[in-house]
Amino acid sequence: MQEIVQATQRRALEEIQAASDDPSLDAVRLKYLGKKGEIKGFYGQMGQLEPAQKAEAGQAVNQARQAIESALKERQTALKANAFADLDKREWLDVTAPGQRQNQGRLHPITQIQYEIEDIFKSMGFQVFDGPQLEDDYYNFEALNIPADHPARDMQDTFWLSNGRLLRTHTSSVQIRAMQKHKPPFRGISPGRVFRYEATDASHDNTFYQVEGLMIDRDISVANLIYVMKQLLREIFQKNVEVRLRPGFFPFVEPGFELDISCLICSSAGCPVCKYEGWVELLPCGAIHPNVLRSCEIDPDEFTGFAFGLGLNRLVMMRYGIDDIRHFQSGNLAFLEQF
Amino acid sequence: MKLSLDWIQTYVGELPDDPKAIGIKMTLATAEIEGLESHGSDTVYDIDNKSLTHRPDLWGHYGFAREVAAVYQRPLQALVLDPCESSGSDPLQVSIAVSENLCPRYTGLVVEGIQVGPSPEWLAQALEKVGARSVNNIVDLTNYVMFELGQPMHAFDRHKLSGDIVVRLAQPEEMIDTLDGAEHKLSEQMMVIADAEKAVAIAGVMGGANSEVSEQTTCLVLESANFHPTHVRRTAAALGIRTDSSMRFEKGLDPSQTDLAIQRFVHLLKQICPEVKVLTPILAVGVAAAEPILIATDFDYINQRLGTQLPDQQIQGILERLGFEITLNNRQLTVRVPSFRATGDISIPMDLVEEVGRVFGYDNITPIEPLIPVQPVVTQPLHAMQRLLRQVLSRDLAFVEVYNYAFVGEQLLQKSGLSSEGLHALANPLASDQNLLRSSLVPNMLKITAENLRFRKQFRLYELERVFLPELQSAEFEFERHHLCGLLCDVQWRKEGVEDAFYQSKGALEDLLAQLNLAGRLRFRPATAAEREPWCHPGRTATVWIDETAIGYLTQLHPQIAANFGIKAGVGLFNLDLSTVLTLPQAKASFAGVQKYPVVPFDVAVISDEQTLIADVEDLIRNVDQRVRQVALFDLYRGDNIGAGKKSLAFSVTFSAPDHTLQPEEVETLQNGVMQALNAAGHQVRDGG
Repeated sequence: MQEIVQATQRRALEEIQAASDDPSLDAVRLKYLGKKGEIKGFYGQMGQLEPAQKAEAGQAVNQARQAIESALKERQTALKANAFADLDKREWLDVTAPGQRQNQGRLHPITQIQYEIEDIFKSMGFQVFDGPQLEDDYYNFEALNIPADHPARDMQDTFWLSNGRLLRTHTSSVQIRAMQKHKPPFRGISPGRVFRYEATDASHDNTFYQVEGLMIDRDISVANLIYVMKQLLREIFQKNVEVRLRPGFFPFVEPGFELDISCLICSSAGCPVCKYEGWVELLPCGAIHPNVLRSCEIDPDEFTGFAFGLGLNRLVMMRYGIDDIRHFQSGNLAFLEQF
Repeated sequence: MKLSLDWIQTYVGELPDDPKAIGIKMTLATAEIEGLESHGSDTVYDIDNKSLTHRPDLWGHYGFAREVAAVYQRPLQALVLDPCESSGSDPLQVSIAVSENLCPRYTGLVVEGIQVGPSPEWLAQALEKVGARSVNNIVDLTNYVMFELGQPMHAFDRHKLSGDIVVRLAQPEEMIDTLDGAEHKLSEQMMVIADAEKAVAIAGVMGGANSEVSEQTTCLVLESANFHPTHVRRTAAALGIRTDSSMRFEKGLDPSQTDLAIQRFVHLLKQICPEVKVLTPILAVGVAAAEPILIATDFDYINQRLGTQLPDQQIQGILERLGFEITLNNRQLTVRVPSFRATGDISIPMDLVEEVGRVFGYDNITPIEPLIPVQPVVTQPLHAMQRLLRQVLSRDLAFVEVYNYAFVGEQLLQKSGLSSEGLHALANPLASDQNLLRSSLVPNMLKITAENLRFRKQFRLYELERVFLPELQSAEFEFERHHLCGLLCDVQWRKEGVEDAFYQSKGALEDLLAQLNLAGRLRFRPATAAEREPWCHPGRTATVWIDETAIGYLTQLHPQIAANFGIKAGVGLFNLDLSTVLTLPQAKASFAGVQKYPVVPFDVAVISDEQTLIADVEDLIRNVDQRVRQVALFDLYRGDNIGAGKKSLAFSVTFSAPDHTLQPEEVETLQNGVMQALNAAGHQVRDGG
């Protein structure tokens, strides 16, 4: 009988090896180990054997069963491992086909640079102030030491309303309000929209955006102003930029400066942007005029300060090489989606 | 303004730098030199006029040479003048018949023995370099003195004048033909120079043709006067003529230089016309010299303000070379401002700080870190909210931010169905489509929507800006509110009956408001006719409420307004008054605990009238018991089997209690409660509910 058992075992093992998937392996299992399987059959036949033979035969059958069981297990594992062998072919995708994307929104490029600059100033301890766009003569001109007969007050430069108010021509008006509200020392900026009575063309618009700022403390000097402006510009442009100060006239500062930066386009070698001078006019600034401090009830003998203005349209235009200022107010998606 | 380097060097000698380097030095110390061009062996600088608005003394070569002398630390050559001694007689008198303010000083002189002809070469060339056309020797010489001293001059033909000269206001509608061949009608606000019969010049602006110097002229009346800067500017602007003369008067010239100009003129005239004879003394009326300005300051103040440590000597030297006279008393300075800097430019110690700083060179100042107190930066709630809204809209909800003009015009308003009544109007609009201040962000949004639809099929836009209100508000800014307008647009939503324009906009608005973390409950209610703007669809507009406060509206664009703009797409939009939102309380940060006891779900469906508001049914269920947790619509059905004018609403409801597991009989009571409440309100509960 042992020989028959061994022959069955061999056959079973061959069939297990030949099984190529789970269903055929199951058929083999049923054929040998099932209730009516061949191994079960051997146990039935053993009852007719002598006790001595019985023990031997029993051992042989058990061995055969174990061998078949472990072969089945082994084969099953092997089959499992093979299941994904050709997955690369079965489930091939063109990975260069377009992805399924969400639509993208955008911030206006001026918002982006305004927030960038606000963050730089906040990191240096400057508050952000707000004020009305519809101003009166006092905050826009008078408190800023702009005399009654100054050309800026004429119709040529300012939008006036029929009720005598005006659209602010700078956010300096906000600075006045801030200086009246806060006790020095303090420092702050006022970003926002301003208006000029100006015909529009590629480099002029009647509506534009700026950030003005000021710092008031005891003994603030021109040397301090230069230091802070240099820090600011390094943060904005993410590199050291050469600056130079030259005299500039603005009624609300004394002394007043025009701050030029080295041309970033040509590294001061000379190009159309800097008119081949190597310098670009960027930032008017100066020491706050004592009259302005006085109009905000700040004693100019005790406190001094500086103020500066930064045109945001111009900064964005410089950064991206935009050649027409009118894009900003166009509402044109072809423009806005580039930022 | 143009300046010849050779001309400047006649007063300061030859300079050690090349012309370009000189230009840069002067740009940094005095005024911006915008460009330079070679003129034979000479160089002509172009100075930015804007950098000279406060410097009347720099509108001539001699004044600029003074600056060059200070920067290069050289002496400045004195001007050669003629004493103008009279050697004849002429009865001419001059007088001023306007206030001293309008014409502080008028000086005249009569000279004869003139031979009008072409200018000598030096004169013609000098003028040509600075961009002036040569006319004849006399006119050219008046211009030469102006380009030298900055003082405009005029020459009249003596024989064309009858009687004396008077400075007076023009008569209403008085006419004058000016030298440029134009005829001008004057107003009584304008000032003229006149003889006994007629106006012969517009003061400070241009001479008249009736007294023009011609080839026959043998005798001249020279004029060198001082006029009020604003008066001249306004006259020139009103007449539309801006001349070299008016440009200089606008800056506020030194009244004491009128005599100087005449003396200089006569000195030069004698070189051109040696026969010249002076017939009168200098005929001068008005103030001779203003009270000098004295400024008390000290060296330490100047150094402190600049952040420098300049020696006393250096500070004093700079000021003196610029023409300031200094009296020292124990390091205290008394500085006398020269008359040519005293017409508004320099009056306080800070002005002297600038003088020292610029000549020393701002680039030579070492930057110093300011010592500043540590103060926390407080972000204003408005700014925090604006940033959050922009972030959510642009980053999460795929909106593109736009900026529109603050202006609207009649036509745009009409298209939008708005009236211009009560809007703030500009007194001086640039264009008729920009003559009013907008009170809503929407009209401009509709305009750019139509424009963008030419190239796009769908998009989402928003603008976050202020609008201007007709009436005074008690809020922070009297006439302004912060608004947010969001607009969604898709050509596929154009078909009638499509609801996406409204519901997608609503979803976006709900997502947005969820981020604001407001304490109150958000509700949408049908807008009443009074609440609807002209562009609001009458059946598809909701007023947006937070508890009992209306914060804006949500709507689908009215098809009529869409047609007005040529918008061929479905448009949904919302508009929020952020100034109002800002007043609402924020939700407190809190933790509700993790649900401990099981949540029991319950689905219920009702058949209701078509006009029934889903939100009302939800509220009804929610208000049955505190143990009702969530109520959400999961199915909406209309069909023949439930009848016309009806709709079936199915809600999934959850029950739970915070402190125990709901017992079966408790759940049954709640279910019955919900169904009874619904039935009682006229909603027919469907079987199996």
